[in-house]
Amino acid sequence: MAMAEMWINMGPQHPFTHGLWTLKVKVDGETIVDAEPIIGYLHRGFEKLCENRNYPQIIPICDRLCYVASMSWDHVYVSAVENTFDIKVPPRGEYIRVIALEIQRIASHLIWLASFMTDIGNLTAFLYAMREREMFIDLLQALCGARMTYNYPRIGGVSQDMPKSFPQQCLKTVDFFEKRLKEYDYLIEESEVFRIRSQGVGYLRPSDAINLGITGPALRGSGVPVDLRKTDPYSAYPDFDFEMAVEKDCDVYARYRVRMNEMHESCNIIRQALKKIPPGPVLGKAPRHFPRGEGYARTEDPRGEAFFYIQADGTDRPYRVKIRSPIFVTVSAAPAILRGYKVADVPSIMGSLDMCLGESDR
Amino acid sequence: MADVLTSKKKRVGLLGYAFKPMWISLRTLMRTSFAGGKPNTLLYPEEKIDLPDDFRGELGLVMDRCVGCESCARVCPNKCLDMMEDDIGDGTTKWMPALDLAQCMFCGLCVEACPSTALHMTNRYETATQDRNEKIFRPHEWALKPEDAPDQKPFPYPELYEINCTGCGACDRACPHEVIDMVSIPGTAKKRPNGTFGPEKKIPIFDYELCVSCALCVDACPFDALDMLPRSTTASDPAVQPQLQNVKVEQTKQEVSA
Repeated sequence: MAMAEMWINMGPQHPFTHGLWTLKVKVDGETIVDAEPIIGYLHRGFEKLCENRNYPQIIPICDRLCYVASMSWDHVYVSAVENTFDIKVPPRGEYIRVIALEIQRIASHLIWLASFMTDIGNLTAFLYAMREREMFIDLLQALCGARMTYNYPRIGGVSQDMPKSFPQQCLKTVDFFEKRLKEYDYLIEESEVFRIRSQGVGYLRPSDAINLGITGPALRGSGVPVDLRKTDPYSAYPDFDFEMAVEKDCDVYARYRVRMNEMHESCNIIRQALKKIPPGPVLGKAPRHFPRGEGYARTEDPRGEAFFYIQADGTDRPYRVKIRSPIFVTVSAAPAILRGYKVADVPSIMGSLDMCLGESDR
Repeated sequence: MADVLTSKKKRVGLLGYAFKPMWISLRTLMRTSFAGGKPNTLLYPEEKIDLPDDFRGELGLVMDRCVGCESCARVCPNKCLDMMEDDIGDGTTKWMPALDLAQCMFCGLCVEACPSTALHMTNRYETATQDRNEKIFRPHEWALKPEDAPDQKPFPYPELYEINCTGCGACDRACPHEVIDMVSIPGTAKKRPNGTFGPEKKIPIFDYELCVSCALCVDACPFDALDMLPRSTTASDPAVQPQLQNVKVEQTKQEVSA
């Protein structure tokens, strides 16, 4: 017997949203028939803002694109400028960037774990993840002097060399964190409660994931092996030996596993980078006057494929800047993932996509 | 309604239902609360986090060191620094930056741009006030004592990459003091078809005694022929630019003979 269908608004103030956005779901009883994400509450006119600032001045506002993974957005912008104007980065600068990016990836995934666990109802894991994130924030603070908005990469390198005690502190933290990751396995994965809410929920077919343009852990969770660090290497990533985290289950649990494995691999990369890091300068010579030209950079953000396009008209500021945000695409795919599940599954499915509204509204 | 696909499920059994997660939280409880344990949090207003020296907190200005070059005001993305005349404490006035801390985003670009190490980011981070106007400082109001700031670094001075220089004189026109002098190099004039000689190639010569390291010449140069470097590696070092020195010597010789 068919029941009357109705629309329900979840958000903009709702415990599961993690940022300002609304998910309108059309329900038939308890079952979701259709969904419609509404975003734009956090729009700051970022691309327009860039047209009124010169190239070095854009770096600190790139921090504000995504407040959870500032470093990776700084890096996308800076490497886009370097690609546009053919600026060389010294090898030590590239290695320090990779170390900072991988620390940032772990910190970002830990924030995801914390917020995902509150959605599921596991508040203990939330506190544990935030506690471990603190160690990685301390590492980044030692590198660049700020805790959230780093402003660390510069056009042609990074702003300052790492402190002398940093490699030791970093290795200690990484070793400690790998022990803690085993604890998470006991706390989260071995729990039947978590498995009931994640296994077999939020099925995303590989073909759907490709057609909808989803990237990052959500795509790899559907068994499609695409990781820009491997498939289109940038910076110093070709020098490192690491594995791409891919899971074939296509559900919420698979996306969870992908991110947990990525944290392991990040620890691995940090260790290799600290071992191999060459001596030398960290900041190359950047021109003060930028010629005409256009260029782009794409990198593997913690959330997917981040893309920055720059059109330069020969003045000291860009003519046009375009940003491709991974989450903007992923949230648009929400109806396709949600259809057919119960309303109670919404927090678990949307939580597994790792929402960040700063970058999608920009 | 759309079809719902489910992947294969794994079950962890009775032990996983409660015991294993519980065991981890019990262990952490013991680790943090009993003997030898350390809590993971700080009691904030009483205890404070240890911050490194390069932490980017509230800005401070060492008035004695400021040369009034306006580099900080030019580089600031939010335009929160504004130049004004102010008393340095002993009755004399100086051209120094005023700060609107309410607009500052703590990016630290001004500190990097400052040639005289006059700007410094302190470890203070509790900047909340009741009134926005309390966060607008005249230069002497956000001043630091020199001993609270790091030691002064050597001033950077403009260095010439002669290959890029076309002798256009843009640096000479941009210079606020009379530091730069355009000098023609003898013997570089090209012969014209009618037998006369064209103008000789000119290069800038710097009088570093007058230079305030404002980098305006570097910004003005259209061909990136100038760069700011610490003085030990600039043109004052004879090993770097022997050619420049020769020109200067010849010029003085000519002056003497004239």
